[in-house]
Amino acid sequence: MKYGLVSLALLAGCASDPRCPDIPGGPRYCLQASSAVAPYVALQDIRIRRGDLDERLIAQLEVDAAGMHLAGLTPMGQRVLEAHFDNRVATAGSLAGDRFDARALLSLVQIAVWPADSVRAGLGEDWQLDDAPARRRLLRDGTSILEVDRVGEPPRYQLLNIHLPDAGLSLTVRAIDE
Amino acid sequence: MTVTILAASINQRVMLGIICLALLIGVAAIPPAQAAPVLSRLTARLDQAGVIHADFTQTKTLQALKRPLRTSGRLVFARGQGVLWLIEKPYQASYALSAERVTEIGPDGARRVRAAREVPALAQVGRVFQAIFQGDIKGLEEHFEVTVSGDAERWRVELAPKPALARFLNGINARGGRFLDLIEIEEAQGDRTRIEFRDSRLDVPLSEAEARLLRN
Repeated sequence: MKYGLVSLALLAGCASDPRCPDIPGGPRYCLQASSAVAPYVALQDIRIRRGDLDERLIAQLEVDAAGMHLAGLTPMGQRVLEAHFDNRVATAGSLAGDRFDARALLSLVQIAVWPADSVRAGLGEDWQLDDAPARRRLLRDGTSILEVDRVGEPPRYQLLNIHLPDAGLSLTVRAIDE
Repeated sequence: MTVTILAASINQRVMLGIICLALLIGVAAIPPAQAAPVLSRLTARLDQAGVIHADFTQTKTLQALKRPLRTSGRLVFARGQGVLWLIEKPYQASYALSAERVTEIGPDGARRVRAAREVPALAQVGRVFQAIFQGDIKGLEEHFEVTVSGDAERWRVELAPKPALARFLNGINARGGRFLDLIEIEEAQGDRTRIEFRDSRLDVPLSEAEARLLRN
């Protein structure tokens, strides 16, 4: 059963810096403190598309002053990944063990949701953030590398469309009302 | 290769969770020769049913998260046709499980049909459920030390995993009366799953929608 992790595994590679996980096909980004946003919890329905792959994951995200924690489950409820950032070090685990670095998902959450100044602080010098309420783009040398379309209000947003053209990867993140 | 390894890892873990769950649901179908007499009457009752409906609420508590994830929906077993696991809240997802294939239906109605060999974990659910409700489960005691207490109207079963499962699982408890009321699964790393069943109905015919899900 692929269950999206194939894409995610391709998305997230090995990284040496404990707070700057690689996002293959994406920017280099170092995680910023969770204090940049008010504490919140979000339950999300994530659809992952890459080529012929089209998979679904249910994610629960908890953010508070101590850090952020993300768990991904199949719709039936089997946990398939976890990622945690304690504002110093990011750690992760998945059914794929060391072969899958789920920390990159935390980076994508921050890039999509965190205040623009905070995101800029996490980017390398050769990256630019083009920020508008409904759309964010990360550019390098004028080329868009990562795009985020946003519907709703931060931090939960009703809908996030995250697209990494170079990786051919799209994530559609819908908030689940409880 | 990464893909293969990843998929295999997922399969292993997911299969474990589902098998444990399904086997426990199948506690009512422990063969009389192996089970305590208290369950034999229940087995016979379920064995005669062609269709079983039950509502469920599943609460998943992950050790690392403060808030549990709660889902609710319906379980439908149709003898000889398959099993439906229908999640209705807070999101929608439907699974039709048969011996040959697994069909996942998303909230937009999109269907993903996979041959059982492509998704052995989910396919196993269908097989085990079918075995459970048809009363032909023989493998429970291969994996667990089984302790039964109570009587046929109020029974309790405790499953202690044998060594092969013990590294993943601390234990499973189930209790019920006329039907299965509750399953509790405690995984070795601290995650807990609690599934409450209610309003179980035997021999209520399949709805048209349910029959369609099982056919396709």
